[in-house]
Amino acid sequence: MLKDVPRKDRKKAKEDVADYLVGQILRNVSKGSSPVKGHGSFKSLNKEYAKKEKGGNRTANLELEGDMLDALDTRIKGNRLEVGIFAKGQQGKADGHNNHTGRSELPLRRFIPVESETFKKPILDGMKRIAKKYKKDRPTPQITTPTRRDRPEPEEPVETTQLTVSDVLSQRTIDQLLKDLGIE
Amino acid sequence: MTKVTLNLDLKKFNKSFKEQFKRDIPKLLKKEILRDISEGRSPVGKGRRFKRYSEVYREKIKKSKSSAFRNKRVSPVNMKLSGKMLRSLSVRPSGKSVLIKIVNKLADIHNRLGAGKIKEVRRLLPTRKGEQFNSNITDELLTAARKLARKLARRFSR
Repeated sequence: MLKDVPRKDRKKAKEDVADYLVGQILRNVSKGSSPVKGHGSFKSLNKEYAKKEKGGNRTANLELEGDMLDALDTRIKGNRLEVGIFAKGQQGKADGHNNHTGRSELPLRRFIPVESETFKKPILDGMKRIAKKYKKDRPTPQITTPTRRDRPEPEEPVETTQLTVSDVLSQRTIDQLLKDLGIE
Repeated sequence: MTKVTLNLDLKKFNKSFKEQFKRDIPKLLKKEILRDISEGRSPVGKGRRFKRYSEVYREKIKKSKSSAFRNKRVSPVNMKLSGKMLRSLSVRPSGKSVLIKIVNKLADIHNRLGAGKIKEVRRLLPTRKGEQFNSNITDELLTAARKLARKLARRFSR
């Protein structure tokens, strides 16, 4: 995934991909869905449990006190990205849902794939898109255009800043978009 | 007020794309910001989960009989009690930019000053220099731009 990413950008690229992956896992789990390929929606919560603990909401979002999901993290080891629950105090809970050990009697609600599994395609595709941003065509300063070049810059209050579309669209993507529209 | 301006440098794009993009982006961005916050994650930077509420506040949520806390849970940290702060999130086109703001004092407390005794900061908008929205939000914007470009390219090619 990091082929053609300049060496100096690889650390940032890996961190961005890691952050994206954690975000995707959490997004899926929030709506009671597994991010793991081959697994669908999580089994709904028991009615009585949902009424007692979740205000009646039966979506199994794996969140009661929040400690387990707070512990979801990544580790970058060379070119490997590890994702999981690394805090010892939360591993039992995580295995209760993921059942990597095969010993859990709880309904299977897998959010971390086992060795033989992978994440769903949209997540993998997203990770590739994130990594692709760092390949040789990183946004160049020429794309960034201040909106008020002619006027003297007012003193910016500390709570205002500016982002440019080049932060979200790489040069290559802009070129492709222009090509799609027949504009060169 | 807590605000950030997203500059759209769309010079090279044609009118149709610009108009549609400026119509679509504010709606999408608002939806994504609120989604992340409501699910307990920061829309900013690494996009990780907000730090949990203080023990005192967690106890208050669990034990309070007040109607204000009736639907409040200790987790996720969704920055919502009455909903007033999040309802004041405004995302709208402004010339060549998109202006994103939360017109509520609480937003500045959470985003910049820090809430509670320990001044816990929970970033709601990327208002510091060099900050960006998290990679999930930026990827959604990028995907929307691509979809729009393909849709318009198909229309022009007919």
